[in-house]
Amino acid sequence: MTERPSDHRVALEPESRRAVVDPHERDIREAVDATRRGNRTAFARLVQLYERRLFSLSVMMTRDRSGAEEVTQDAFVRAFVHLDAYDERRPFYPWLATIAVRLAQNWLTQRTRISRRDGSQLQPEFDTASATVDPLSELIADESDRRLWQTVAALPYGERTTVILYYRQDMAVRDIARAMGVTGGTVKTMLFRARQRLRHTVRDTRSGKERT
Amino acid sequence: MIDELASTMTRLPDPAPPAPLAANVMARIARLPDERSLVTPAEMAAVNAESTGRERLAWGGGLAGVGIAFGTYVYGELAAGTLPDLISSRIGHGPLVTMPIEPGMLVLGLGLLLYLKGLFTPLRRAAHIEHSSGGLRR
Repeated sequence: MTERPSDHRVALEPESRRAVVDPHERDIREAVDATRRGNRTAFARLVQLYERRLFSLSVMMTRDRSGAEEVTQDAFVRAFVHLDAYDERRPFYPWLATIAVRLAQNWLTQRTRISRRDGSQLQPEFDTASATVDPLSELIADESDRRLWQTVAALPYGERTTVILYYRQDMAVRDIARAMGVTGGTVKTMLFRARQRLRHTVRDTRSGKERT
Repeated sequence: MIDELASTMTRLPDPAPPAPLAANVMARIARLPDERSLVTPAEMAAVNAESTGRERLAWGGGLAGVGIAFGTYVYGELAAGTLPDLISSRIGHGPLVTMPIEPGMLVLGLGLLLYLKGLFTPLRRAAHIEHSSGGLRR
């Protein structure tokens, strides 16, 4: 049965995802308030809570370990500097992830420019890092999972980002749209296209698992 | 297929961040200029209240200057009996009467000075704010 975008849109955005409650909400609020009052060390709690998740996002976005470290650090520092702009009525992580996504985008653009200037092989926009060794692939033990991740990593920038933010970072379509500076409809369309492209790999992954 | 993609994406490992990442972030934050702790919201409110008071005073001064200048002019005209008849059709055809030089002129000058002071106050205030924020950044 062929999939239509409308089916896909209905299947997307389950009710539970629309109201994701951060289990550390109280901690976050306290840390944000204390930081705003001038207690810098209180920000360490936020770094501790989201360091791993944000680094994982940055690795998936940049596919470069040192680039991911740079993006993660910059995202935290920028979040600290602009903490007054954070709206406490919204969850903290999507706001932080938005900063990281934009920094990762800048990092990839910069990397593309450098590789073009240096005369290395031209890569599609934002895909320069695909030429390097993917740090996440090295960590995936299961062969079919690794193949699926590599297929995700090879997606065009927009589709890759939406898949990572939606399926891996559990972000709502509305938050993804805000992070990427597009409409919710565009996010849904990109997710639909990504799923179309990933269809065969997912099927292979499933059949491979059934065989084992 | 959605479930399969979702579960595979969930199964992917989280790469461990480099050990000094959090320390590096906090070190960078510690090196940032201390704007937050220097200006508390209460201090900012006090500065704003002071600025508003100064602004009102300047406006009041300016308006008083204009009032004094206008009053002096009208008084001079009345005293000399040369207030133009605004109703008659002879406006502009009467004799040109200048205001007599007397203490009233001093009051008029003072009024003009007050007016000019009020006129340029916003500029001085902007310069003051710029200076203050520059000082905080340092």
